[in-house]
Amino acid sequence: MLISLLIALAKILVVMALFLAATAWNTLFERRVVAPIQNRVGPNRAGPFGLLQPIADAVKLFFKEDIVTDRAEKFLYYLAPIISVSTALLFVAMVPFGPEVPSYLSTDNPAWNKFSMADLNVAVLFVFAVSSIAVYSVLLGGWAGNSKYSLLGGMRAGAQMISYEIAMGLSIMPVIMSASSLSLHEIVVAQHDVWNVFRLPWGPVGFVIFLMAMLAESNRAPFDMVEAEQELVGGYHTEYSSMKFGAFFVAEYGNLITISALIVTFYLGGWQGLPFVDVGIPAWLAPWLGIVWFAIKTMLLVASLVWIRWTFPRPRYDQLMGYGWKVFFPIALGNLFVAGVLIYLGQHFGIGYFG
Amino acid sequence: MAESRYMTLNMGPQHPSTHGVLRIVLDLDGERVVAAKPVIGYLHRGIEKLAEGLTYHQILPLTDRLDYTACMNCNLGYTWAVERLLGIESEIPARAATIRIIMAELSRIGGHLIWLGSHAGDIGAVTVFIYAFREREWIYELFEDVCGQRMTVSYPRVGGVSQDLPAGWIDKCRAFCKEMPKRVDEYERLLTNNRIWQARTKNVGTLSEADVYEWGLSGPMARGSGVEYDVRRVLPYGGYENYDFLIPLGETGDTYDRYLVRMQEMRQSVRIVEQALDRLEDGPIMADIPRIAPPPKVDVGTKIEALIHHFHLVLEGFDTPKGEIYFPSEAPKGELGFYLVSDGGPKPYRMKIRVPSFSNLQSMVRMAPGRFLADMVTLVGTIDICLADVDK
Repeated sequence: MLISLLIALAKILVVMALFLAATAWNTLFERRVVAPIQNRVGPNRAGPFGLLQPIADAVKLFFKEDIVTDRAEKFLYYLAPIISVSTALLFVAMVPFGPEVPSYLSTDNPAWNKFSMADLNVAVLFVFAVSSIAVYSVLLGGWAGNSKYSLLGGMRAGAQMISYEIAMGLSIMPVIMSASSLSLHEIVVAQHDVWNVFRLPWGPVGFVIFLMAMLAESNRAPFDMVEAEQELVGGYHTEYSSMKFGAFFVAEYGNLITISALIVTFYLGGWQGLPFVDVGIPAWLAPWLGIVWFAIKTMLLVASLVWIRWTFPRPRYDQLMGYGWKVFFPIALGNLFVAGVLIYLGQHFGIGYFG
Repeated sequence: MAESRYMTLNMGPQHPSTHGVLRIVLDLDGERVVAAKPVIGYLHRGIEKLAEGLTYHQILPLTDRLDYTACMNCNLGYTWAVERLLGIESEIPARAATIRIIMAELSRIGGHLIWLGSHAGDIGAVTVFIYAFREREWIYELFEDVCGQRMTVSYPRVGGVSQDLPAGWIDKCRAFCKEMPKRVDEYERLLTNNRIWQARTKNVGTLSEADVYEWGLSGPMARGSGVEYDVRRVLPYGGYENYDFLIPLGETGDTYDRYLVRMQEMRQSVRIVEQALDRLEDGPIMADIPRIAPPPKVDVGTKIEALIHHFHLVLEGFDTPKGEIYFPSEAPKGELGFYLVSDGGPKPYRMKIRVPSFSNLQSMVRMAPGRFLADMVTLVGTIDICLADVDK
């Protein structure tokens, strides 16, 4: 029992430390990726290749004056950044980084034998619940700052999340049906032969909708109407400064990693490697290789999201709601129907590849 | 005080997308704009009044500070106006006239690049901003090579231009002309067929032909609505009648059409520059009119007559014939007109500047109601204002 607990604590420490470090250096990663896109050099002064830049940024944020506006709703004003960071961190608890731990690390409790902080059997629901709570940080932050621009940002957040949550939920249903499980580990295991994105016809459609919905969900450009610097100055965090702003900032870049990780888990085969590469890997190494695969996929996806952000203009907020309700919702619904029929046929009559 | 059911929002004077110090007072119904009222004057420097106390040569640097995104066009508009007042238009040497056309068109491209960068940046395509500024930098380097200044050039003079082109400049300029159309293609690849870009600009800020006449719009704002009004073609000046270029026109008069018009204008400007480079001949760059043109710098240091001449010209300026003229020219943003009233002395009795941004900005009142808050930045971008130009 005690050992299990220690293992759990160790996992939490390791994962959190790695995740926070990844978040910090993700800011540098984005800036270095975007620099060549824009014909620039990017930050390269602090340390070799600018590697110390995140530390410099953090120090700068800490030393900035922490201004609390006079007429802010104090309690909510302090609560919003806390919600924002904690939900970003909660996501990570569910993400499976690799397969079962190798035998020399396994314990007698099967629940602790996975490369993830927790293997919940309703992990999908947990993820959705957390993502719904994350909206509150934007809504409350926008309200509490007592500024009109913040308020408009908060308002947009509410409308945006409602339009996207449904399409997101529906686009993930085929994945759950095909894996017959709500556990993220099971979902990855079910993709051993074919990654979900390659399961025709519903895979690619669901993948695109889920990707877009996740972008909108995390307020990432081109769906960053909630901040929309050019329109709303800073949107919901207009009135935040110093490390309270930093908290929103950390959450944004943390979310960038987690949504990539979730997309990889749901549609891109999670920690599964490419089939032909896995041949001949000794058993003691294979689980660790899963982590490497997972990291590579996530990083590539993060880079693509950065690429998307710096290439596209931003749609208008009513247009975004229009896409959500009029385009993605019906398509996701139709996709769910098609996938349902195919999976039923496969599982009950052995037709197709879902036997 | 009666409670309004609308939220009043002050957009500006400090706001990322108001291109300087424009302030728009918005009445908002949710995110819908009910009324938009531009408030201007934060950058008023009284250029028109200042001009009354300065000689014609001394006014020139003030015109740099009108539309600082295209200083050369403002300089040239002013010098052409003074030359018409003096009646010496026919005496400008061919080389100087051609150099002026080159500079005016380069500056027009530069002005359009700033418009493109900020407009696209406002709508969220930040990368286009950096691309546009890359080419603008190139143009500014060309300016720097010629006159030592990048933005506030004050390059032309009444009677010609201040300095001749340095050695090798023409090749540099040709290289730019060769490359620039490809760069315009590059911007267009990012925007023209982009669904989001079209969704944000099509049917936004539509102005009919009647609106153009009603609000006194000019430049791309008029041409985007299909009104074929380009001063270079309608009232040719400075030799534009000898150049072959097209005037792009829009059909529907929305933001997207104005975008296409400006993109085409950049290509046409490159064409004009290329033609001008071909025609460039050796010759003087200053008209041979001693009462206006300063003596050669070498003589000022060696000959007493030249020194006295120079002294007089700087201290007293030159007299102008009594009368008044209005001289319009085509600046990147529209019709830039100088109205000069002379009482015969070396200083204008009155100088009224018809700035394009000011008239074009009025159309905001027509375009904004019923749009979304997010469209406001699109509208500010499409009007292509420069607040220094509006406030004078």
